[in-house]
Amino acid sequence: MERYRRNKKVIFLFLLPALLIYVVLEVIPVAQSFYFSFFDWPGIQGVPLKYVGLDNFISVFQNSQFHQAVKNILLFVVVGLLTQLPIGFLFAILLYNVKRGQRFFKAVYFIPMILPVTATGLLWQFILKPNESGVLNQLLTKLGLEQLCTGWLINSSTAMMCIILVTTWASVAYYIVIGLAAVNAIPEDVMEAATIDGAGQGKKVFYIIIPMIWESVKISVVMIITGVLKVFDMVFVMTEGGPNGLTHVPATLLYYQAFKYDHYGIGSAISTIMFFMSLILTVISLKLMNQDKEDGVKRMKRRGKSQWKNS
Amino acid sequence: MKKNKMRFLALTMTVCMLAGLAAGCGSKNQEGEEGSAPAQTADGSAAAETAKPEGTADGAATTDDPEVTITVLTRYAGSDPQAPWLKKMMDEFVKLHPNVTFQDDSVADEAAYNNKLKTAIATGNLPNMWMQYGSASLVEYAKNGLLMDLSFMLEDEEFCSGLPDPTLSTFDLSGYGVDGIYAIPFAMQPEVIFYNKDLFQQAGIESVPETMDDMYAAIDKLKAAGITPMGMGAKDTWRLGHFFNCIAYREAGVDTFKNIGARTAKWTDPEVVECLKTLKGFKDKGAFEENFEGIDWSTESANFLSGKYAMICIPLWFIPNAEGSEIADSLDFFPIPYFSGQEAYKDHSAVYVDAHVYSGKLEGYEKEITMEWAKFTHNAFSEEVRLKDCGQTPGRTDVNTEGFELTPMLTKAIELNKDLKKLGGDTFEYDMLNSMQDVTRNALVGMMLGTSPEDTAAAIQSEIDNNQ
Repeated sequence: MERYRRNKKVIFLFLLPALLIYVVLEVIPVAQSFYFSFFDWPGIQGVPLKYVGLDNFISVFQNSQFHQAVKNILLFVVVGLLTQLPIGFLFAILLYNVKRGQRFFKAVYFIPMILPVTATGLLWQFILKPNESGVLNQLLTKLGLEQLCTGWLINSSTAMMCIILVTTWASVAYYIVIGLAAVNAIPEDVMEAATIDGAGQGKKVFYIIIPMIWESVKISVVMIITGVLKVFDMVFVMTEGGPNGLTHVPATLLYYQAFKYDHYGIGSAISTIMFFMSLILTVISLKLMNQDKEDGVKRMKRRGKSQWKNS
Repeated sequence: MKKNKMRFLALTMTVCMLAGLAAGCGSKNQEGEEGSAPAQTADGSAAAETAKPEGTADGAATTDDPEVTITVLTRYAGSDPQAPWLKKMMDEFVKLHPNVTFQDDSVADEAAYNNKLKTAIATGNLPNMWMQYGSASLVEYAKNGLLMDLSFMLEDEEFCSGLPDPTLSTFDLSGYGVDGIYAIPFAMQPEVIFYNKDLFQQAGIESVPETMDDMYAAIDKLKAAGITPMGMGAKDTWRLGHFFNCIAYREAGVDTFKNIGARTAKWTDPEVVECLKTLKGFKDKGAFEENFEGIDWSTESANFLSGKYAMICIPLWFIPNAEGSEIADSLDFFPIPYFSGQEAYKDHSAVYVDAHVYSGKLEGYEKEITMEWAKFTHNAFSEEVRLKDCGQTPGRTDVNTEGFELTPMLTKAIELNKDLKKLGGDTFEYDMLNSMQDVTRNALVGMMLGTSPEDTAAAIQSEIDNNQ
């Protein structure tokens, strides 16, 4: 067995199927999309591609709906990071401390995750309907809060936020599971030692649990960013990007440009822009999260040097 | 013991799952039948049996005819009123031609239909027959050989003479530089105002509005009586789009919008902006429910059929829905009112006509049998099925109505169809830009949410200008 583990050819052989699938189904389509973004094609088989250079990208950057879509998706990313991550990991830490009923709570928290996105979107659409048709408005009226009733998915100040919060509700379970796995991986003796040293729950969370699950946090941040940037289904089901483009995100815009308006080149340009946005945001967030670690290492080194000087 | 219990539980769940799958497959056949109730006679009994189609199975197909599959892609599926028609026509055609198999890829939902059609066109796997909306959408396909030239159908005088448009010029593409006939018009559906007679009486409205001034007066009376004058589920943008078509054609005429498509007029022209102002005026007058921009068509329809709204603006395909509701006796319809100062456009009407098109890639026997299918789905028998089984107004003048008692609404609808003079589809139908459907409809909703009519017109026009 050891012989096989050290044999690079054997390792490559086992990795090959997954690599092939990844290249064929992910890398090649992305490269093709990048190529098509420099062409115009009306979506009719047999009609040749027409080279247009950067015209598709210029058209996209000049489109006011694209500006709105980018604003929406950046809001989505920020709110997603501020909600999905903290709520997910907070629930994970709470679940870690619950001894009885942990399975029950895990199952309950995971229910939104197993519902199909279409079902979730439709469910919340009914809840957020305007006037007395909507469950939320009915609830607010019964609580004597009629002044808060509104058309949640048509009001410019609430429409996008509603979609974001529904997505959070549907996705947070995923990060609860990741967080719980990470917290469970912390050695018991570390926690016991902290308890013996007199650390309270708060100090345990901030000085032991969070630093020790930081790698999982980083992975979750990358997943939230990349997942949110390509969100399509929830927006399409709840509002189709409306009213009048108010809740468009790049993916819905791409869908309309390519599949409704037959501007496949512009659709490809949008997908290329999304790819680079995702890459840039991921690199920036990883750098920021690694910055603390690098600063910590530098501080340790400086302390080490000064102690040696003083000794 | 525990192991046996687990095994038993697993087996029970497997059986339940399989039973569910079997039930699901069985219910698929029921959906088409339940989607649209057969037309009812005035006394509520089921419709008379439709006559059999011409020809017999023996005379139609021979043992030498090859097996062929006809692929059909339409929106006549699910709860669409014409879904039973399509199913019946396929069944009857197979009786005449047992060598034919149908592959029905139809879906009712517009987005799903659009995806299927676009994928088919992009990959070259064209269905034998599909449906389009509007003339301009046919141009690119016709130019690239995707559509069959149907000019030869004009030679069949018996077939053409019963059509409301015997020259098949409804979808004339000569204005776009394309000669030939590429579509057969199907299911002419004029837009009308369905109204609740009881609510009108309650509000003291004695006669149906004929002019827009009458309409405004009716709206005021209904509001004063505490009744929501008109339903409008603008979340489904086609609702507002349809209402705008009615206003625009009565106020500015069909040709104005044809000229916009031909680029000899603009959305920012004063007469077009006036139409937008008129539409906005309905909201300002309180004709619609608050936050109607977030209400969808199914809620609007349900609210009207439960007596909440006094009026809705909808094409005549709504007749079976109205006649099948609990308040059917209270419902009726009237034509779209005209503008007193624009009598020249009094007869300009929003009428929706589906375009049935056929693949231009067909050859040999497959082409021959598909053309036979084309005639079969537009002949007198076909329209008889639409009338008797789906409660839809017939699209031919030679339909046999013997033994079938027409309901008052259907009788009125047939008379209305005879009086139609100048027809227009959606305002964007004459524009070759595929984006105009969404841009126009979304801009109308945006106008209702606060954009001025002038800015709305400018936004729509900018889409045209940016794609010149």
